[in-house]
Amino acid sequence: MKGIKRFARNRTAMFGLMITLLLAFTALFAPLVAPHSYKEQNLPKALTPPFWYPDGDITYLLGTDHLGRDLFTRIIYGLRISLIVGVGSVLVGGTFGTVLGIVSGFFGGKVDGILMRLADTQLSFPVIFLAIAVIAFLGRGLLNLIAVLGFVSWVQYARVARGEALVLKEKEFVDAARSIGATPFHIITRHIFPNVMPTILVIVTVNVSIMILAEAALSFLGLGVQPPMPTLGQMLSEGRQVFSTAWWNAVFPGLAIMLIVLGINLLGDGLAEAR
Amino acid sequence: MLRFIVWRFLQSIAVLFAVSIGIFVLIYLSGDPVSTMVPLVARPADVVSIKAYYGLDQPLYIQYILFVRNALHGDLGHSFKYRQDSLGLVLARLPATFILAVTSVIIAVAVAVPLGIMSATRRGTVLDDLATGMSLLGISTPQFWLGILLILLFAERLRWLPPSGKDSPSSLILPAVTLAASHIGMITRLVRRCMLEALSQDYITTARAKGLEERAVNYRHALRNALIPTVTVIGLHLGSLIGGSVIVETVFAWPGVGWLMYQAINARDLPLVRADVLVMAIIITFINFAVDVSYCYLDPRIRYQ
Repeated sequence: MKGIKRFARNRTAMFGLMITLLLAFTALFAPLVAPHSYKEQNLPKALTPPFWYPDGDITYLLGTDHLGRDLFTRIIYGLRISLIVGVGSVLVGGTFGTVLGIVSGFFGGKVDGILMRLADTQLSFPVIFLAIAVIAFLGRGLLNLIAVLGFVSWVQYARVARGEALVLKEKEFVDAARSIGATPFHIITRHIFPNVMPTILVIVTVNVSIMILAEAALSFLGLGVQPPMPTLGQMLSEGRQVFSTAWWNAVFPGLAIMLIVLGINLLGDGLAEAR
Repeated sequence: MLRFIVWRFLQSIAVLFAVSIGIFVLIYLSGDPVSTMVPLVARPADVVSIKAYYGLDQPLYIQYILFVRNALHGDLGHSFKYRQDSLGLVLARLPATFILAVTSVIIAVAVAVPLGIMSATRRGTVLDDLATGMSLLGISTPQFWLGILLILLFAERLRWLPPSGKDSPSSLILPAVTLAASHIGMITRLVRRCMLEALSQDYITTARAKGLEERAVNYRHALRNALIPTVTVIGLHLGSLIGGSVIVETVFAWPGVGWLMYQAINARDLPLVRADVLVMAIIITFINFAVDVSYCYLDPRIRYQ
């Protein structure tokens, strides 16, 4: 409870929470919020500038792309993909890594040794490099993306969960549980796991932002979700082709990525401090 | 000391072995490369002979042994697209990536270390808030977007710098700054945190109590201790610079291994992708090895472990 109060008093953290929630809800209710359809083309209206320009159009708030699609709408739908991939891959990696880490730390032994060597090996390579390498071979698509980003990030969770489990298993309350005949499964799920969660939660938050950036980079390289589903990275890659005549195509999608990542980072910093 | 280096070297070899298995598994999982090479109308007999030519008709473990043997002989296969030795193609692009990575590390360290120190020694002031805010913005900005914005501003509007390519020394500026930006954010935050931690130690109080100047306390006592973890992280960053080079080099058409990787992926040129991934992995492994060894010089405690 103290932690929550401390968090609520932290102004920058609350600001981060607000940005994140605002963008997340906009993305969640995209069909209700978006003024157009994300694939509706209107070629006569192609490359319309944002509304404040004299030749702008108020129904296309942030202007249109080279096919006359509404940029604002596509950004909202792009955010959706960013968040789905960000949260999805963190769920995959977080679950996988936390379970492996706790089990590895709790039981120790050979499996623990091998697992941690494996973790060290993988940790020596940057996430984006691993993701590019794996997707280059296995192909693109939403599920592939979530799976790959999830599996390349399990290490962090595993290491932290293992470290915590190593400390926790020596604690009195674990001894007490053991002495009344609790099974290892019971001890792990009821005593170790709830105590590991707060730390994992902080990593989860920071990692959602890292995964969103990774998704954007992969989409930018053409390794993300396939068109016509808009992703912010792919919009920037298209925007780059027309940016000397229509700068808004190369600016607004990036701004959206930066805002969501900034919001989540502020939130994560606040959570880390409040603990 | 020597034992540590040898042990760490053997570990690196083991890592590379794991990498070779990883790449091999990926190649296997990526499906039948021959089907993407030959036209749809190819005769089955031709497909079989192409498979035999690349050794794809052998059992898996033989294919792996062949792959490792060839790799050790520097033969990583012919690029489908360029019809050339793929390792040679990658190595030819290596110097460009190296120049870019080193320049951006220099920029990142030159900006981030003073910024972090200032932020920590003037904690709570406007300067600190500014530095902290800027570094947060730095790590939240997608690299490729920053690159696009810089091109838009400095090449398109102001026409001060070339937008892409590697024709003059000034072409290096934009990609190097772009690659450095997110690292500036991370290193600043790190230096600030380590400095604050060092400044809260007892030996700092002692140094102040014996009447040392604030400058001497900050630089001779706090900074030296704050630098040890910083160097490790900068070393790790070198690895991610190589990884990040795929994105930045693609934005700026910088002719390094990263852009080559992008081109190879888009052309479905698997032998070239394979060679590129392997070379990048070797470099990253080597950097990690070098960082650990240098760490050993900086922090004598490591040598005795």
